[in-house]
Amino acid sequence: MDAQLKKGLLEICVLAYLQRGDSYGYELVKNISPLLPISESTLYPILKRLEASRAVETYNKSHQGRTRKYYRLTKIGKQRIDDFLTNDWPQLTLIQRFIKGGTLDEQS
Amino acid sequence: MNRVDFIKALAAELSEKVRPSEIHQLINYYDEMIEDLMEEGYTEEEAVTAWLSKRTDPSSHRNGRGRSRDSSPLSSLFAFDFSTRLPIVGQLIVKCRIADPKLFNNHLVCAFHHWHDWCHYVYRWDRQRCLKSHADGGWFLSLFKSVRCGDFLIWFRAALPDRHF
Repeated sequence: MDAQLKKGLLEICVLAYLQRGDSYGYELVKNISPLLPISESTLYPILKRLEASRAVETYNKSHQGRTRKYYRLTKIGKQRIDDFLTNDWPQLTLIQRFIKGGTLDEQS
Repeated sequence: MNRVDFIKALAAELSEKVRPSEIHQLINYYDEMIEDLMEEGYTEEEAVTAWLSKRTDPSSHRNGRGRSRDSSPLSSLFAFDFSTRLPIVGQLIVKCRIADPKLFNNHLVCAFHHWHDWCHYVYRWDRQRCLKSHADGGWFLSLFKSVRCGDFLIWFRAALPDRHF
């Protein structure tokens, strides 16, 4: 898959996974990779971006004698998922049809 | 290499290239990843090596000229010498490229341009042992034409399963 396209989809996948419950870096990599291959190094900047845009927030939790950083979906993050599903995805579907040879008139 | 040595080496390397405020976060992030791998059943050394082998995402390093386009935090900061199993730190500049898997029989292949002796080596890591050899193929040397002394190239086999290492 194209790297730029993948980057955008990964952000949504991370948010979508967090919708099921709070999670941490390694778990995110493990569970998203089967869908969209992702490495730990790729995930780091994605999490940083999501945190900076306040789509996720973090907290530390003790786990087997060490501290683990957890990520939690925020209202802004939920809104981003909704925006993707209601605005971006239908648009992507139209683009797909267009690429496959349809005309703009056929889309509507 | 154990986790503590790895973290020390990583911190030393990062201190030259990353904002101080970012170093602590990066160290914690990768330390946590290594500990999670160990929880999955990896030994400490395996967890460090596994992380090193996965630290670059091949898809993030390709561009039209085949040079590194850094989108991961460490891709241009850290390298690993598979012959000594020690991190390469210092003044080396890291460039990442993906090897043609057909050339390497599914082995992880790293190519180093050593600043001190101007020699080119290929390291083939096949889980059991590390094979080091001088590189004399034209295809290989041509890749170094645009590389300055002090540069470093590393190739990763793109589709190796995670558990391979």
